Amino acid sequence: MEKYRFGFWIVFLLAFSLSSKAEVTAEYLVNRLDEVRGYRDQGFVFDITNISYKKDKEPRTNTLSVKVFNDKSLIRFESPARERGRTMLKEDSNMWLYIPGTRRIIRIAPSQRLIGETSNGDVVGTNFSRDYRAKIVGEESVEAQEYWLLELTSTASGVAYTKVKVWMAKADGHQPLKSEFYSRSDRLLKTAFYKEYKKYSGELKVHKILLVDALMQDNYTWMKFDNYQLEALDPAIFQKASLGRLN
Amino acid sequence: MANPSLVRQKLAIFLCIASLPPLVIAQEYEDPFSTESSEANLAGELGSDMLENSASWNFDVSAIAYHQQNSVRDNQYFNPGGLVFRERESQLALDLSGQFSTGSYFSAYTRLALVGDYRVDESGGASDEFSHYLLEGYLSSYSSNRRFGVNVGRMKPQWSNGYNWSPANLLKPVYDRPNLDTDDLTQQQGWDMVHLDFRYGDWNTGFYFAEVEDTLDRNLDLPFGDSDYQYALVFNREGDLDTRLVLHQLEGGDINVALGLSALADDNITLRFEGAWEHQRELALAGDMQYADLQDRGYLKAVLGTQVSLNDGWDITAEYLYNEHGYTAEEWDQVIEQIDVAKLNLTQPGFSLTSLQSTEAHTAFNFLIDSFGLLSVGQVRREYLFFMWGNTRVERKFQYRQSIQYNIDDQSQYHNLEFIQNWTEHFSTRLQAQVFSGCDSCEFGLVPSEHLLRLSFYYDF
Repeated sequence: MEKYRFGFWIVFLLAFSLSSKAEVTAEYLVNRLDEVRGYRDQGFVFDITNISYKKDKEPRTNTLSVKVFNDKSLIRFESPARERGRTMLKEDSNMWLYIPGTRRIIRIAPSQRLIGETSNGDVVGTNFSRDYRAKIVGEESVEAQEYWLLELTSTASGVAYTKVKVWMAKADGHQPLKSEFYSRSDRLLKTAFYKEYKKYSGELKVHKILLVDALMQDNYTWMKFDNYQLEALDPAIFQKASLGRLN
Repeated sequence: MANPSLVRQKLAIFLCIASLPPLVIAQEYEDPFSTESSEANLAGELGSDMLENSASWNFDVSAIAYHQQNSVRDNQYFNPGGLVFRERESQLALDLSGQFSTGSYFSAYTRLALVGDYRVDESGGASDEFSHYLLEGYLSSYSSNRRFGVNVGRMKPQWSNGYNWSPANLLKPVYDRPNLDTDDLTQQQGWDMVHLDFRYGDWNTGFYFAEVEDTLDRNLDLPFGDSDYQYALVFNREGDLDTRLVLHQLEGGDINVALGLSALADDNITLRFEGAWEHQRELALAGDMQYADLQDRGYLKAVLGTQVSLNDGWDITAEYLYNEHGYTAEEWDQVIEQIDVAKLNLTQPGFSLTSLQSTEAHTAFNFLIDSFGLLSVGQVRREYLFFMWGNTRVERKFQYRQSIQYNIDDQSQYHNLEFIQNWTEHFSTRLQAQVFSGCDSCEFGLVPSEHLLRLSFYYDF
């Protein structure tokens, strides 16, 4: 009798563990990855501060304020003073930059860098669930914590990175630990370390990211995301004609 | 002989260490945001201007100062003999911009330039001038969903997506040469107008009713001088293929058309095309001597351009301009021939620049002056190439930009070299050298300065 009871528990625990593992799909994890950078299909605003470091050079600081609605983002440069008022509009892979001095709006490429060592894609974030196909390719233990290794392969043109590997916690919340970003030739370009999370209106969002250049590890950027707020944003403000206006 | 298990252990240790660096490295970078003061700084810097549907304001002040030294040509081909050119110039300017908004229903925008100029010509004569310009100033009101809006006042709409040439900017008069003098704030002066704005999805339509007024008093004797008003209807679609159609009409005139396209060719390459079809020839008609007949079918000006962005923050920009407003080789030969005749007339006995005694001499003098004025319009010939490379896109301490504009018709060239040093978050300097080379009667060989050097100082408050 005792033997049967033991067997029952073994089968029960095995079934439970298998079912809980089955719940964590690649799609679920990639959605979770998007959630820590925003509010998915709702309009929201947040601020970013970037501090970029290069070997033997003074660090450069930028502050940006960002409005996001679905696949559209409006990024306004707040500092340094000489760049204040520059505004970038992003819609999928299309990006435009407004230069306040000349009132000109020019199309820019997604891989262009405007701020320190971060690409435009790094700054405004990427819709991983829409632009990438996700697959769990393994599990890894880092500093006694268990992580899923998620591999994302781009399905959309114009994204900054062809492949992304993400380490996401197996624990509740499935917070990402780090991401590796690869070029089309499968070369590691940079690594993002998700250093700190913070709650905004009860939801956990990434607060600090450390972005390290893979080739020159003396080149790195600290990014601080703050003041996340849900906001009703009309699509009409995400037009080139709105660039340079306050709201 | 090495112990195989020891070798395996060493290999395992090596692989472990090799796989660690990204995680270990992360521990070595000190968090600059770890102090609370940085949090406070950010909150202070961002202010209130991103808050929706509440009163917000923004005020920017920039100061520009420069000193420029010109190397004036000994003989300028269009100079009747009495013109003296600037040899030195110093300028101090303030660029003041303000915006106030109470949400979508009411906003006010203004941009003012205060410019003080001190000039010394090649003969040693000095002059100074202080001017103020209302570059832009308008009121704006939009519906709550921002689909419909009206703007009234002085505005400078930008319809062009070109870098060096802007054919789609059809409103008249236009003086827009961003690559020639980036410190010239008067280029940003708009037109007094009413603008109706309709937006739907990726579409945007604007109707413009504007005055034709040479507010800068540049004395350009252009064919549109008789019109008081102008109208424009602009259709704009944003997306993978950005498309803009501009229909423009001067009061009582025919309809001019411009089409602009831009697209992404690759992750790091953008392409653009822009073409304008106008009934008025852009170039001034010199005095009473009309040496260029108007074409019935109008004039095409088109730009084809690309920008390639390199990984290390450098951009390469290239543009080709085809310009039917410019003179053909035959027309230009005719201009030069008449210049020679005019100069000959001016050498007739009894002529002096202060008293133009004969009609011929008077006409000849005006012709030379007007021809000289053509140079300020730019693009006097048909085909041009523009090539620029620089690292000014990314914020960094030292920036470099170099460009060349090449006149394919007469092989004259305009070279521009800029070194920019961003000393602090607010203060920058720019050292600029410009060289205009070409034959005596070629476009850039006719620019009075052979080369110039300018040192500019910028302070953004």
